[in-house]
Amino acid sequence: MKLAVLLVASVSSIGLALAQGSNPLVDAMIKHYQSSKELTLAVAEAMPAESYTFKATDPEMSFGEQMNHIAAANANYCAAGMETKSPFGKLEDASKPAAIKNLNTAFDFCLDGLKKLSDAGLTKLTGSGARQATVFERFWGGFTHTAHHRGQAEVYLRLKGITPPQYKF
Amino acid sequence: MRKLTGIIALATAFAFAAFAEIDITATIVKHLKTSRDFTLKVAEQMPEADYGFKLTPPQMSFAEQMVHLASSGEYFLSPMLGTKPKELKPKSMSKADVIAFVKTSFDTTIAEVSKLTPAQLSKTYQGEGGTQTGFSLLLGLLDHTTHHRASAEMYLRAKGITPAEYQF
Repeated sequence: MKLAVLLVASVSSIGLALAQGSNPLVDAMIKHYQSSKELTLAVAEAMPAESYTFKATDPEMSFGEQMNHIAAANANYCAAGMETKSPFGKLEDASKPAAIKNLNTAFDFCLDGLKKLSDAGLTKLTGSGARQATVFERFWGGFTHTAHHRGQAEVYLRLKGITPPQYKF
Repeated sequence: MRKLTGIIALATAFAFAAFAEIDITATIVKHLKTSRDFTLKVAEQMPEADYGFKLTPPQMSFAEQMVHLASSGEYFLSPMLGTKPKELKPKSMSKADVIAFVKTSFDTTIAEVSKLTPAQLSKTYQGEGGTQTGFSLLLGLLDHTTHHRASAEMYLRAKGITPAEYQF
């Protein structure tokens, strides 16, 4: 009996050490999410407010819609990773101040979620069926989706004669 | 007492074995394959005649974007492999040669990433972009590819072509 208690104590203390101590994978994800937040906000700031309705070609989203789409999708991906709900409803206001506020909310939501994770938690499966994915893939899916749309938004800046902020990761 | 120590040691080993099972590499390989297939679709969509097209003068041409993003593997993996990044180039900037280059580059990268061990992912390496873990280098590889492919997709739109659907 004593042995069992000792065993449980031993294993759970190791678990705790793993959860609290060294999480190089999660730490790296936090660092890169922080860079992504800074770069995305720099891109959002670089576009003048009056050009938030600009789109390069007709079927595309406007610059402001691209920013809101980055925010909403990031929040959705991270919410799926945390098995919770996105902080957003439908984002209607695509003006510069609204979009910048949404980007801040979304990135902070993801960063807060990442800060609660351990490396071991990254391989946990979430969702079901064909849409099943690990926690790592949820968060990294959001990250990559941001890079995809931010890359397009940077071309909108170029078309307005603005050199995009320096890429960082 | 010895028995107890033995059991605790066994329990400890078991806990660490569970930790080592985290197979992030396999997941990254899966997404690199998706990235390769998606990039090849984008490359196929641009007509041969427009491979030299760029939207604004300071940008890279469509072909240059493809060559640049396909070189990501060489750049991001070299610190882990202990090699100096080579400047790889396709035979020519024609559509066929660029596509062949993209395919070969991705396949080489995927083969190299498949061989990486969990220890290599957490180890810190000195590269041109400063000190980074192997894991960060792999994430950087995926991100840099996405970044330039997105620019290339804008070139397609400018030519009236709807880019292939986004995949991750």
